[in-house]
Order: sequence, then C-alpha cells, then structure tokens
Amino acid sequence: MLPTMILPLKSAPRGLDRRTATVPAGVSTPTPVWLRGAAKSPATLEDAALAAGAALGALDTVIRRSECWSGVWRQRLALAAAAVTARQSGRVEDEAGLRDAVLLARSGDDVGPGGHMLLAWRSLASVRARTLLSGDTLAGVIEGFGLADANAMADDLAGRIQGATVGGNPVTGAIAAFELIEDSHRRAKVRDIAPWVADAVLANGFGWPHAVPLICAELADGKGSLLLRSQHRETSTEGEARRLRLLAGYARAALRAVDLSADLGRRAEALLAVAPKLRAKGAATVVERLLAEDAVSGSQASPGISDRGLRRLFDRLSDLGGVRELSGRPTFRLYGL
Amino acid sequence: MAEQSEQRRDETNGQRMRFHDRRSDAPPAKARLIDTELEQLPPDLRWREWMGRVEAVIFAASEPVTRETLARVVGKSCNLDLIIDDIREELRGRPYELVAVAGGWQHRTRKAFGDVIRSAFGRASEQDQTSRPMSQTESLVLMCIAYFQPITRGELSRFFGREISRDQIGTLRAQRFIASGPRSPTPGAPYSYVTTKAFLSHFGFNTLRDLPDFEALEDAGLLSKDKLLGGDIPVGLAGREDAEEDDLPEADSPDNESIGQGT
Repeated sequence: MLPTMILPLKSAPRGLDRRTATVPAGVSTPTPVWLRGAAKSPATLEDAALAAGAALGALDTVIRRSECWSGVWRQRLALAAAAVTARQSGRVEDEAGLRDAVLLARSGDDVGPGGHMLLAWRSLASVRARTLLSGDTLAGVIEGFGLADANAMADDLAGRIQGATVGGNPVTGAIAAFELIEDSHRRAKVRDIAPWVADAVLANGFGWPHAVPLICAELADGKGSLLLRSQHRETSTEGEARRLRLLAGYARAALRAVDLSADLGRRAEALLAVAPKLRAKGAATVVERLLAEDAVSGSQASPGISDRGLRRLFDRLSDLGGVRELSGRPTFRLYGL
Repeated sequence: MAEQSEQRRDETNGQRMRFHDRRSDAPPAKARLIDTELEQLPPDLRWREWMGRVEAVIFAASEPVTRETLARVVGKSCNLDLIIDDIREELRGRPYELVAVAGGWQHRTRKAFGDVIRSAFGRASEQDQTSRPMSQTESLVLMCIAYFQPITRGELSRFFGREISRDQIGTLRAQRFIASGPRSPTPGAPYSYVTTKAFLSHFGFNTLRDLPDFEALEDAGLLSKDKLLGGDIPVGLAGREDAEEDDLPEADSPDNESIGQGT
C-alpha cells in the first residue's frame, strides 16, 4: 500500500483522456423486437427487404458514430467470416486457429492458407472502402482465398462489378454483385469471394469509410457450404428464393453486428475505465492497439515498452478486467477485448 | 482441316528453331506494337490467328503463362477460355497437352510418356542433377504437409511414428516445395511448414483443393490434424509407412515430362 501512496500520481497515459465513450453502449443500440422475428424467417420478398432495410439502418447508425473501438469490432466480424470461408474451402482451422496463424507468424514467414484467408477478410475491414473494388485489391483477395489466376480474374471482375452496381440502393447493389459472381462462375471456386465483394459494394453504397464483413457468416449452413449452391440453371422462382435468402441474411447479419457492437462497446468502456490506472510507459499505444485489433500477442514488441513490461501490463489489465486472454493457453497468450 | 494439320506439324518439328524466338512474352514496355484486333481478317481466320498466337506464347515460355500475358496478344473481344478450349481440342491426339497450373497455362507432355522420356535422357539430364528423385518418405512427408498444413516437424514425426529428420525437411525446402509458416504455440515455438506456389506448379495443381481425394477426406472428417494425431489414422495410409526409401515415379515425373520447356 505504502509505495503507491508515496509515488506521485501520474496523469492518464497521453492520448487516452480524450477517448471517452459518448453514449452508454447498452442504450445506444435500439433494435425493435419485431425486427428479430422478421429477420429470422421472412415469408415474402417484401418482408425480407423491409427487415434488411431496418436492420442495416440500425447498423448504419452504429457505424456513423465511428466509436474508438470500431477497429476491433470490424476485425472480429472479419474473423467470423474468415472461419466460414476456411471451412468452405476445406481447411480445418477454426477462429482460434486462424488467429494463431496470423499472430504467431513472424514477419517474412508465410501465414499458411488459412492465415491468408483471414488477412483477405481483414483487408475488407481495414482498407478504405472506396479502393476495395480496384483490380489490385481484388487480386490480392482472390490470391488470399487460395484461388489461382488472380490478376486476370480481378481485372475482369472489377470492370463488371462497376458496371453492374452503379445506381440503385446499396442493398440491391450488393445483391446484384453477389449474383453476378455466382452466375458467371458457376463451376469455379471464385464464387467463394462473392460475399466479400457484396460487402464491399454495400459499404460503398452506404458511403461507409470502411466495409464491415457481414453476409458470409450468415450463408453457411452446418457443413459450411454456401446455401445458394445449385447445379441447374435457375428459374425465376429460384432466383427469387436466392434474393430472399440474401436479404434475410443481410438482416440477420446486421443485427448480429449491432449486437456485437453493444458487447464490444461495453468491454471497450471497461478498458477505457481502467486505462488511467496504468502507469507503464507505452501503455497508451497498447490500449490503442487493443481497441483497433482483434487480438494482441502478449510477446509482440511494442514501442516504448519492454517484453517484461508488456507482460506485466497485460497481467495488470487482466486483473483489472480490461482485457481477456483469448487463446486459453498458459503460454503464447493472445489478449483482446 | 489441311491448314490445321500443317500447323500441328510445324509445332512438333520446329521445336528447336523456335528457341531463339523465345522472348515473345517480353514486358509490354519494350514489346513492339502488334495488331491485336485483326479487324481486316474474317472472324474465323482471326480466331485461328489468335489461337496460334496464344499457343505460340505458351509454347515459348519456360514457366506457366498467366492470362494477363496472353491478353496482350489477342483482341479485347477475345474470350481466352474458349481459345484455350479450342487449342486443347486440337492437341487431343498429341503427346503433349495444355494444362492449367499455378495460375497460368503450360505445355506439358502427357503423363503416359514420363517413363519414356526418363529413359531417353537417363539420370545425366540437367534436371536430374539439381533434383534427384524424391524418396518415398520425402513424398509422403510432402503430401502430409500439403494436406495438414500448417504442421510442425514434431507433429509429422508423431504422425509417421518415427522421427522426421531436419534433413528431410531441408531437402524439401531446398526444392522450394515448402516454406516456414507461423510458429506453433507449443513449447519451443517450432516453425510450422506450409507448401509454396512452386509446389502447386510442379505437381500440376491449381489450388490446394485440387489435391487428390481432398473432398473425400474432407467428407470423412479426416483433414483434422488433431484427429489424425489422436490415432484415428485410416488404414491405407498407415500401411504405406513400412516401405522405405524406394523411388516413387509419380513424385518427380511432372518435371521431367515438360520437355517442351527445356532451356
């Protein structure tokens, strides 16, 4: 007790004092009860469209608040989407495995096929939305998904998406992009990137600064294949059924994202509440990273803080309830909100 | 049809002559301007000319040619997939074929001729000096890494029931089939290994999903490392462990087959 009383009280780490959550997270995300029911199993196209519109509207307000924790929020959604993509392409890594692959690779090492998928989804969440649909970005993503012939496919795709999605409302644009890829690459594995492209188109339609990975996690059934797979040429009713599933998928995805934002908002508040108690040098940088990234490796060097200092900082943060250990291991720990 | 067979003869007999003309896939900055649209030709002749160009470029290149490169020699309205399909159709009876590997296309001799080519060149050919044929253990290790990557040497050893030495990993690394991946979160933080693009190209796969029986293994739920290491090993794989250092013809055949590419 004594030493802490003698030491002069330091002010909060620089840069953190201005970061206060403006709206309490619990009340800031109202989603009407009827919406959850409507999003679960809409009967008609109109129902689905209404639910998708309302849910995406709620999501829009969350994004427009541009909270300080939006980085970790988008990356968590990216992780969920990457886990689905990995299952679809026959990889066995779950979310924890993907996180390990990316965080435990030293710079210059290959992160492995699963890791590349996660990085591709993270690029959706971190690259500015306006540049997402350029040929270069798409080429990187196609390659990250483990598909061959990336450059040519990307240029081809970039041109056609631009043509297909100009004008109209954002949701229609996203669905048009999804259908475009599904239909034009019936056999090829390129279809795996359809959710990625649809989310990018949606973000551009809404004018969000960064895209949010949404639809992919909703399209997976138990085994991990896209629900929309059908070998035959689609009749108009089948096309309609697909639009219904996509709209309902977007409604559910948006609600899930809003729920996750409320959860992470609370955790971020808890972290920011204990942040002024941290007295280590470089603590501000670590807190910033915790708010911007899905997880931070306990042994990854951080500027202005030693390895031992970092370990103690994370121990202290865990004790104070600011962060959780995500991997469940006694070594190679990964911390996050 | 007469024109067609003449073209084929030209391809097979004129291999040597063409080698000084290899640089037709030079970067576009220095390339001479060529007429790609060919608007003065009637459609069928134009199509034939495009087919010829595409095949010539693929033939002259020493590594798989990407779609991007091919798009430089044909018109904007040209569908490269259809061109490739037509070329494949023409090559139906020939001892070599056009295969899609590692994100591009390449001429390769058909698998059936692998033994013949090997016996013709013997062990003294320049390719064999750099890469001796893979031993059965090495190819099994490589297969294991391909299916279960990222996987560490320790896990491989447990999987095979005997030590997989650093040398064996080193040989595969030297051939650029594998690279080091993320560190494994186990004591000692050993490197895990992942396969490279060169691996895909050498064995003629386009993506990792093209590995033989990938879907069957996936459906059986056997792609999980934990399951295999937990002793749930399928009988067929376990039985093959006994065979020691025999040569495995399939392992090195694709490289030897590609005679059209020799420099």
